[in-house]
Amino acid sequence: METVPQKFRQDNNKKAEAFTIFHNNEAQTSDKLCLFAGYSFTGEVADYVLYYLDAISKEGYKIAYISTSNIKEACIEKLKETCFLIIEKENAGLDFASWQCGLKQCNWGQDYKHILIANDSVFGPFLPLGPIILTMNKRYDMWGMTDNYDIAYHIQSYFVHFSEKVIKSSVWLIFWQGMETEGVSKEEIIRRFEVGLSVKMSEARFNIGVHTSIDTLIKSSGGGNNQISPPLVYWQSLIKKFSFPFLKRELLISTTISKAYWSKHIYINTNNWRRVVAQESDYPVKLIDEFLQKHFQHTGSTNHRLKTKQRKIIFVCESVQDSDSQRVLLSFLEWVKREKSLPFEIIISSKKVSNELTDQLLTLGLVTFFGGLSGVEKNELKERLSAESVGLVFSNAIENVEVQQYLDFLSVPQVVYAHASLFDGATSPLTEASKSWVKENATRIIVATRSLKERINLHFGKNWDEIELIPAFTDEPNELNEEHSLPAHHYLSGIRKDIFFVGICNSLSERMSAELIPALIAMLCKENKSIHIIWLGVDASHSLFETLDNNLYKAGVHDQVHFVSSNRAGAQIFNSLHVFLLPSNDVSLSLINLKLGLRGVPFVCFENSEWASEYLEAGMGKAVPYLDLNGMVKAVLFYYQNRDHLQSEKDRIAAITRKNYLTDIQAPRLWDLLEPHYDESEVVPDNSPVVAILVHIFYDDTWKELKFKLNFFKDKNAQFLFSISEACLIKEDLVKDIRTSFKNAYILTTANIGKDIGGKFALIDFYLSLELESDYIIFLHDKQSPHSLIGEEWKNNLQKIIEYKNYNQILRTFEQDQKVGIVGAKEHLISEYDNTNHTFLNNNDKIHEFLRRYNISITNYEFFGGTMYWVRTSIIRTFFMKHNPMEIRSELEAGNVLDNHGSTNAHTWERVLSWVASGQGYRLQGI
Amino acid sequence: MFFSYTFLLKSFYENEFIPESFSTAAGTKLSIIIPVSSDLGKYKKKYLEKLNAATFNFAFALTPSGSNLTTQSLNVGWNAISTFFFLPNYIKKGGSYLLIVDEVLPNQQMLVNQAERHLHKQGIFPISKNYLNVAEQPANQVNEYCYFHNLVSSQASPSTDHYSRLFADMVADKALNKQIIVVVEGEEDFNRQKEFIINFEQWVYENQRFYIELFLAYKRNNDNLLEIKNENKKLKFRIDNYNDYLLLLRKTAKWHVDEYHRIHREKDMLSQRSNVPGFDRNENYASSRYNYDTEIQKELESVKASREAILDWYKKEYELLPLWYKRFGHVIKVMMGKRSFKSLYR
Repeated sequence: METVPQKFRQDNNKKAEAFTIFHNNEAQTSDKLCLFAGYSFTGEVADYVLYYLDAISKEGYKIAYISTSNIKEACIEKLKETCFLIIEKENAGLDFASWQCGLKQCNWGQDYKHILIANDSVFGPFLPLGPIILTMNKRYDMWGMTDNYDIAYHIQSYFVHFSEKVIKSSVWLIFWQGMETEGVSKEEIIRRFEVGLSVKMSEARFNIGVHTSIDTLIKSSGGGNNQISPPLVYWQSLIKKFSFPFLKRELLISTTISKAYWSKHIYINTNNWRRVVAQESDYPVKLIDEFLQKHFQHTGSTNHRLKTKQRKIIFVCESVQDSDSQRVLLSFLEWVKREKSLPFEIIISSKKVSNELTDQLLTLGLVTFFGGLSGVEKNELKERLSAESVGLVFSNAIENVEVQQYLDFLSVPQVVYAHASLFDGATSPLTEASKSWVKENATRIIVATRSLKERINLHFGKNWDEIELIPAFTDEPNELNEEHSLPAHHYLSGIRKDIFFVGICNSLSERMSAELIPALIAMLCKENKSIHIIWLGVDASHSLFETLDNNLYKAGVHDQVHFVSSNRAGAQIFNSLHVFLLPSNDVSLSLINLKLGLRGVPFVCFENSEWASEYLEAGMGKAVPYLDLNGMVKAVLFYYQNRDHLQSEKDRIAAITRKNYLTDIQAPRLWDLLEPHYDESEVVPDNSPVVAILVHIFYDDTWKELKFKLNFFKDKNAQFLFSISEACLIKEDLVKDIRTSFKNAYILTTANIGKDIGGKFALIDFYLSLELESDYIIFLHDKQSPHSLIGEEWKNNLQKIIEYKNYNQILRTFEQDQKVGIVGAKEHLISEYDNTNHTFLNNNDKIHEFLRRYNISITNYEFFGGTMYWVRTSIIRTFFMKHNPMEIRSELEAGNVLDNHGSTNAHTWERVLSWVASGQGYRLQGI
Repeated sequence: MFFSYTFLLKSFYENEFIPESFSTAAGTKLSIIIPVSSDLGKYKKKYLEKLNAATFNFAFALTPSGSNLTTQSLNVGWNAISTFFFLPNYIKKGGSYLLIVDEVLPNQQMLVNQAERHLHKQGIFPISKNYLNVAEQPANQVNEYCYFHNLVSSQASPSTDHYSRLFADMVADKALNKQIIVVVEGEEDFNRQKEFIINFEQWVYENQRFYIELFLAYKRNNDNLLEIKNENKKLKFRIDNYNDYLLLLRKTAKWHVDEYHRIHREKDMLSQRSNVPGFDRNENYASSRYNYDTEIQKELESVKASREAILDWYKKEYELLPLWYKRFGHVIKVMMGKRSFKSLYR
């Protein structure tokens, strides 16, 4: 039967209310009525809603669907399958007006014994509703799913069921018939009707209750606030522990959900919702996925800010000391970046140290040195992370517990990958409190050695059944292609090519090294002058070094020993070694061993060397009884005398190492262990302002620092536009690096006209031509003022606008005062205007000319010197749509121009660009 | 491939055809030439996006679809399309931009000059004024970087004689090391040209091996020469760049030295005053004197630190200069009598 929509103008007390009935199948009979309020963002009734309606219908309810948005014809047909009445009404009065409208069409429910009011604000049901309805009906006259004490005790209105006793009461009729929503605010509707409904029914002595009360939840979870919305805060425990059938839609589409109760110190994390729903029910999660995809697509098309992003992973790194655990983490992070493209940031437990490892980590992402943070800074970090949608914390040491405890507020899984064997002594590196935190909260422990697993279980007095072993891994070295016969290092050059090199790694800090190793060397080298020792990792400033040197001299083997500090132990050294000796049990040398393993170098160690057992089992080396120096010497001499055997071992060992210990082998295994705790397919909406960052680069030695600072913006809604001066000596390398580091960045290599101003005008033209949309533009350049002694200070001040700790403050400044047009460094907010004679200290003639030419009329001549600041995009757009930036650029001076000898267009524009904002009625704000 | 080929896309705005990757000599990227058109300004977003994300190199040509250059094509709004020249994959040689201009009629010369002036203002200096003449067939045209021969784009089915003539002309025109311009209509035409190029290269390999070896050796040398030229340019840039700064620095340094002496003089004067009989030596004076001395001391230290900063900066910048430049500097000092000749050998 074809639907003939019936249009109504229903006279209410004051104003006519319009609604359309699309479908009304009076033939359906049931004593159960469901009034379902819906609103579709896209005009389509989502499949998850149809699923919900079907579930209600299966419980014998006649459904009246009242929509406050336009419904497409195709959707009406779908709705007809479950709904007897389909109404489209104006979007006013929230759900209560919809239910009222539906009730009125159904004789105020007087023909029914059960009435359910519900809406499309939840996904579900994850369980059949029948048993819940049956049980709850027996207990209560009016019941819902959850309650709270916000304003007053009330049942939350997304699902409320009424019995005949209530329906037939005068309170019912008075409530619904007297409901007036016209012109009433949202807050007032909630107060009067959502809260008011429960209050009125309680006052009428009806028995009211809920499926899972907030009191029960608080008791169960240890929380203390009963004025929050339980399906938001306790969504996970509701589903997991209380067989709760719904998940609030708001949790997944709101961009601010994580901080909905931040003022009450409650952080909501929806991490892993897909897995929770899938594990606890047979609900088709794809219905939610499809809805979210369409929803974000739709809202994204009308709101340029709205994007979706994957959840961030926080990697906690013990320090930036060059050790196995740090190197393995670095390899893993590089792999994650390469293979997964997930957002992540790094928190280092220790204080800031500038070294090679720090630089490598900074290249990968934002790095925070937790050890150096003050209390205030820690709070700021918490504030920032609370808006980052974190999905997982991964720590590379159990000793990172302080940082992990700090991150506890995020309520995300925390996985520890332990390397170091700090648990070998009787003393614990952790306090009792930390120990107990790890015991209770570490979601998963992964270890790099088998013995560490036993020690950890012993140490914590807990048997982590799921402790998995992922051995240390390393990357395939590029330098493997080099000739193996290359001299180890320049100071080894001149040594005969037939020398047999034996490597030893010891820093002299280990016990017995100064005595035992020289003895071992003497035994090896005295009789065999073709055997040379390369001693890696030695510290020449160590107090024992002189004794050691003397001992070797006395033993007559001094000339056969070459000391190499660990940081110089590069590929060429590794390539030249034939055998590697490990005369110590208490050193973790996994990575050196792996690097040598990739080159096929066998190792000889003592039996029961804790770290070596896995490698021995794999067949990468030999073990002799503890302190059996003779045995060790014999093992080396065996290789020395059987070069053919050594050669065949080389290929075999290299193959074993490559097969088992490369990053590409172990990193995916490690990822598989994280995978149950981090769902790559989950996305979260991000509505943060879009910032276009326009950067001009001129110098050849400033990029690294700038890049590290800009890394922060990669996880934000940011567009990167770079102008590299043609005059930059490394422009080709920069273009390459920018393309690698900033995906989708737009790059220009601009001719050296007008210094940074010329670059910025070209970028403005590029930005406008590409029709990019952003809320703010940040102007930056690689400031260097070598002629000024405080040039470095200038640069740091100017660039504080891209310090991540200032990001929120800058946004707040703009959002709180719509008249703020530009935000920059307060130290550079200056005025050169002399009020008495109306002149400017510098570029006076040109400034007057430009102000006239571009019709800029202002009274405050403050400007941001240095042209680095945030500016509202609308200001730039308004001005430069009228005045072509490339036309302006064509008037700028060429080369590296200074304004010491007179006015220049470039320097005049440095000032006028700020006044473009002032001229539009905005003001400049320094931070 | 022995030679480098650049494809001039005659019908770029009609069919938007861009050839797939085509590896030419020395593994260089595919390069194309796009005729300049007012469409570039009109659909700037589309073409900027297309060319920004491209894996090929490109250059512009003032050659309107193979026909003669028109006045219209010269009035494209050069400022508006200047941004295209700044895309990193625009073909440049030693900082100059490749711009091909086809057959300029006398009455159009003024417009071409105007276009050049516009580009100059944006810092865009075309490589050569010795422009090509693609339209004027069958003459072979050459400039410093590009070479066009109508035999390459000839529709005739190629023969050995065809290849032989082409190669002989290339040698005669000294074109072996230049970008060979191949005019392409669309995909079908490109495939035909591609086949021609492959066959031509094969013919060269089989029949002109000695020439090719000689050519490759020449190319290597030429590349080295270019590299040296480039290095020289970079150095010149650095010297030019810091010249002004050094002047300023000298001024600043002088001010610091004067300040240093002034403070010293003031300090001496104060200490002499304190020795004058009857001079108030009460405690307040002692205290204020102490503070004043401390302040002067601080100022002195700050000036000293500044001086060191200047020296550090100078040393750093000086370090960056190549050794031969520094040596050259010493030679000049000798010539100026500021240094002995012998000292150069110490």
